[in-house]
Amino acid sequence: MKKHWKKKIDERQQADLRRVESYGYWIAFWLLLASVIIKSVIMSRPKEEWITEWGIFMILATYNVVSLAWIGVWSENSPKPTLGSSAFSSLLGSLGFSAIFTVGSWLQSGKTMEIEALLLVFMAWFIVLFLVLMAAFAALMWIYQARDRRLQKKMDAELEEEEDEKM
Amino acid sequence: MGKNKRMKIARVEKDLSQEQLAELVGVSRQTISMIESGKFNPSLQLCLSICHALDRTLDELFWEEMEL
Repeated sequence: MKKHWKKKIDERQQADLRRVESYGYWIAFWLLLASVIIKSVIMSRPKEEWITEWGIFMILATYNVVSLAWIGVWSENSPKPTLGSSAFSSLLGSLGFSAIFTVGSWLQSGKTMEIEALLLVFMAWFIVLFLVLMAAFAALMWIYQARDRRLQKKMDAELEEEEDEKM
Repeated sequence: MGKNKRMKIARVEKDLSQEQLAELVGVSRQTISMIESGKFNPSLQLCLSICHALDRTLDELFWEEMEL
């Protein structure tokens, strides 16, 4: 049994396999989000039809964020969290989702909403989402920094231990 | 990362095919081919195995001068 489960691929094949799996993860992640948005906002389907997908999406998102904080990596573009990158991501996220929710409101009104009302809805969503996302990023930055301090302490302790052994 | 001609030359001098070298170091032939063509960056552990199999040092097969 153990022999059957023993790894039979080399490191290059393993790296390729991980890359393929990673693509699969991101395809599933974005398709789930698209599916939830289409069903809930665009088609206005009842909650029961999309709540499971939303739950799975949230589990994936939480797994991603917690795992990255655990290994001490913030994101691919920024090794450490910064206020600038958080503000930029919040801006992009809130712009995108405000547009989606505004389209949702327009469709729900039977496409009868005036442009002024749509702008108002967009601005209201934008302000709320931007504040929520900034608060979420601040919480994530705090978690990341706490984890980073623990990792640094662990490395310092290991170094001290090695030096004590030498003496 | 460019082609690793030194590894290819060392393998040919040792009269080994890609398949034979792959078997000696426990990887697939495609992996050896990709290392020689510079398409895959092997781990230090795999570099050492290749050096042992070809009776060469790490410097002889893998050292590259830094391009400043």
